[in-house]
Amino acid sequence: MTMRARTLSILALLLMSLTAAAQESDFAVKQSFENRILEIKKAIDGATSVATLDSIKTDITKLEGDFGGKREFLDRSLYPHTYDEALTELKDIHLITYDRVYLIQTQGIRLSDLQAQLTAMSLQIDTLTNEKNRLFAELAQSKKTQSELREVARRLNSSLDAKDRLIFAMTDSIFLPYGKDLNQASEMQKEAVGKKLAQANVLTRVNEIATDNIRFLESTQLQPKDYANLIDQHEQFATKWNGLREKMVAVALPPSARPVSATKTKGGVPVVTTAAPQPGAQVDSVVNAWNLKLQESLMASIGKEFTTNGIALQPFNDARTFSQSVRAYIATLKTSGQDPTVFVDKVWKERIDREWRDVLSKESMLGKAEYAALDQLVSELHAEQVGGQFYLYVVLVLALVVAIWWFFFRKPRGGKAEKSE
Amino acid sequence: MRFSIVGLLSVAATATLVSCASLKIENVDFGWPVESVVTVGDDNVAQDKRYSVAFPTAELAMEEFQNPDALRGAKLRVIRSKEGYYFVTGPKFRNVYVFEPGEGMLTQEGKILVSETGLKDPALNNRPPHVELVDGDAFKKVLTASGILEAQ
Repeated sequence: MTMRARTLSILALLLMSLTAAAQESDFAVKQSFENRILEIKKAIDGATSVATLDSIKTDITKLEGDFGGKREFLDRSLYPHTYDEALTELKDIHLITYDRVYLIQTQGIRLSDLQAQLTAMSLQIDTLTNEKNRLFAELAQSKKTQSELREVARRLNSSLDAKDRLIFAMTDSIFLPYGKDLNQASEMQKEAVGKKLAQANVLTRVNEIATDNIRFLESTQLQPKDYANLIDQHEQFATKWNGLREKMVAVALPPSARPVSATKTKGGVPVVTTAAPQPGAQVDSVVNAWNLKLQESLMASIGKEFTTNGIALQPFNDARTFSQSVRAYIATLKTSGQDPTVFVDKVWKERIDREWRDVLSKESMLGKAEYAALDQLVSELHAEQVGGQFYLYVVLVLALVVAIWWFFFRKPRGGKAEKSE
Repeated sequence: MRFSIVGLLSVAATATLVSCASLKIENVDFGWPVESVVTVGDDNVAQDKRYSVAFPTAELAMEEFQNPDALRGAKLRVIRSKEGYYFVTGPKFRNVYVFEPGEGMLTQEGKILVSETGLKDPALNNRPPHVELVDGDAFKKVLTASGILEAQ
């Protein structure tokens, strides 16, 4: 259908509806509404350009304006459907077609390919979810040996990691066709992206990953080398999530365009509001909780290295306070003159520097410079200890040399007397 | 003693009558939100699918056009009022027929003359408690089961 023919056709229907209004025949009003919906659907079906679809959007708005006042009557006469349902269906069809036409027009991407890709990813995510649930159940059973549990935890972690990557790949696929600057996208495009994100259940899935990771930390006994990987995973997740959240905010409707919704308070009184929470606020809080849990677990494990060797550091709960505690302990050792051997050799050199250096040197933890500074302080402590011993050794060696000299090379006093005699 | 037996019988009879009285529900709204436009089939039966009502039209055609087949293929306008009466009319009709539903039948309750020359483009609207008849731009009449209440 050409643009002109479509416009004429819609004008004819508009005229019919105006006549119908003049006649005041309810049946004619109903029929006119149904015919105009049908005509718009046909127009959408035949649309091959975004410009045509923009024009159809105006027709839909006009339809709403023409029949909005008869909503109550149409609700009853369109039974089992309602006025809102009819319009929502029309808008959905328009939106889907707009999306498809836009993609074909601007990106040359075959929608079927994209859709198939999204479906495949969704299936993979579901499979990973099943796998994850099974592994959590295995982990909960304490019948396995320590090494078997380690293997389950490893598989579980890699499953969570794979799911994480898949979900963000899926969201990338959703946003990909719309370019980088979503603020420049039209309302229609934003609406289309928002709809796809909702259909792909993105927020729930992202939230689930973060929650699963907290659960993983709670149900697994980790070793020092595990933490570096877990911190990387959290950092990557948080970065990806921040990017996604920005995009979600960009596609979210402005408050003025949000549908008015009634929410119920605790007292059951509905409160009508257009204010909606920022998209992903819940995910933000779970990602934050995940970080706190990770820090808590990590700091507890590091703390054990000291307490098991009888060293009581000031309590610490993150990298910054850990550094302060170590510095304070070193200062105490220096002033008190206590033997630092256990702290320096057994704890710092054998455990912290060997097992935890990678984790503590991360920029999100102490950072390389701060770790090096701490290590330097500990080394100086060692050096002072070594220096004292060295002087003792020198004195002892000198004393020994003097003793040997005295024993072997000294001239006996009695011999001189005999000679003079 | 005799008095007490009569009294007992009276009480029993009253109780029996009360328990046998049929249940009545009032303030029922039978009204259709919008009229049905039904095409009379070759079998001279008008069938409305939404409300599952079907009725033969030969007698109605005979009454209005003196020809039992006059309505074959015609489009009838049917609406049910709030009170439960069926209002039936159509193009070329001079009257609106009002029927009361009964057991397997429709009984004529009223026959309202609305146009001497016959309706051109009639439509029935439910305007509780009445029914409104419009004929294109020609006129609008408010009908009751027994006649015209108001005409414009």
